[in-house]
Amino acid sequence: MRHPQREKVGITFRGRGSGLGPLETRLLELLWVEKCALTVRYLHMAFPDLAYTTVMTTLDRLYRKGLVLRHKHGRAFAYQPRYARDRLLSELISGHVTDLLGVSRESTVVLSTLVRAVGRTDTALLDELDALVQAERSRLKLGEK
Amino acid sequence: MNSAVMLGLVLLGTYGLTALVLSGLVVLVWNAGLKQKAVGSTELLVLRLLPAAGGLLVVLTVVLPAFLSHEPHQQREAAGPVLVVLAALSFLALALGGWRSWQAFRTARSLLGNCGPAGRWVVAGGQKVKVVNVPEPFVAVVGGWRPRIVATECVISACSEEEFQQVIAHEAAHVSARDNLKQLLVIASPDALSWTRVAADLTRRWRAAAELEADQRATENDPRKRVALAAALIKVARAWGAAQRVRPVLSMPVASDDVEARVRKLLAPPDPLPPKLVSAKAVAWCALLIPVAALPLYSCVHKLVEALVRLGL
Repeated sequence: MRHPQREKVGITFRGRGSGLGPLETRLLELLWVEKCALTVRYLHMAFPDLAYTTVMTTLDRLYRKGLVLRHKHGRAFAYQPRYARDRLLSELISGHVTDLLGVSRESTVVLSTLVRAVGRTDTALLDELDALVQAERSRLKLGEK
Repeated sequence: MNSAVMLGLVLLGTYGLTALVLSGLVVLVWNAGLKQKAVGSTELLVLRLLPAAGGLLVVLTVVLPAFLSHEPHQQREAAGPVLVVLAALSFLALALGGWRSWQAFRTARSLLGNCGPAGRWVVAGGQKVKVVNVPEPFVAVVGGWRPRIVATECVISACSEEEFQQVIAHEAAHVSARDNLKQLLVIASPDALSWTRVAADLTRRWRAAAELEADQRATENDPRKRVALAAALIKVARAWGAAQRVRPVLSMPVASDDVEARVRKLLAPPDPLPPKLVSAKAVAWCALLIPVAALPLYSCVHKLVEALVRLGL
């Protein structure tokens, strides 16, 4: 499919941290598989259980989040993914991790992290602790012998 | 005033009053010296949740039956300003608690939703772990009701197999202790205590205690496992530093004090956890006894409620 009137969108990743809904994920998965721009009519055929307007609204939401590109194809819009699958999912999760561990969010998030990221990294201190761990490891090995 | 509206005001107002009194009690006990003592995670959690849970228990099992059984039907009366103010504050606290828990639920669901189609599943230490490929060395239990363990590829590559198993054992200890559900209750807790510094202190101390207990349960006092977990903590902390260099936008340095205290604790001979001052069974028995003990006091409780309704009129 050709893209004669591709619309310009900003290069910033507007969807970052906002998350994907289940239907958004399904539509994106199909767009990634097909590897070309698809119209709402075509996508709707792949999801007959959904209303045409639901597919159209969801694609419009993906476009507003900056996750798909769209261009005029005749009288309709055709959509294609803006990012490769792995890159998008990695960015989304990474954005979430950043948000989740942010100092201001720490008290309102349901998660238990191995290491809380709220202080200051002290390389010298980590070196010192590492030396203690190595010493303890050696002591245990000697004890086993 | 309509009797249904009056009932709503009475329930909200008495909840607010009870939670306020219990919050004051917790602040007094904490500042009177409890904050200086080594307290276990259960006691800290009970203290943090006491105002909201106590308020709810008193209202539903004492005030509501007393009011319904002693309030004359078809009688219309006006509510005093004190009751209205207490009810309004309670409503505000409940709404804020609901909003905070909704936000927490939504954030966790969103992260898990994005992890769903990404990454791969691995089984470590008998636990299913979702592994995703992002630059941050993130290992966590995400979600309140059905928590899942999420880790990133860089943690697996930074740690040895034994160390990664201990990391997952630590997270599994959080899952079995239902720490995330407890965290959700703390976040949602609608009480006056949430607006004080004592609540922040209690939450911080509870989190730290829960981490130490998870370390202890994961390593089962086995020196090899303790050393492996300590080494993993240091590696994850170092990886955070590297992630910051990769991604300058990320301004979340690692809490060295948190890592240092835990590594030193893991390398020292294991000491027993602080003795439990409060057991879950004792709390449950108290909660069951209150409504039973209040049965003969319904008339007295109703008189107190009436006094509160008319206060300020």
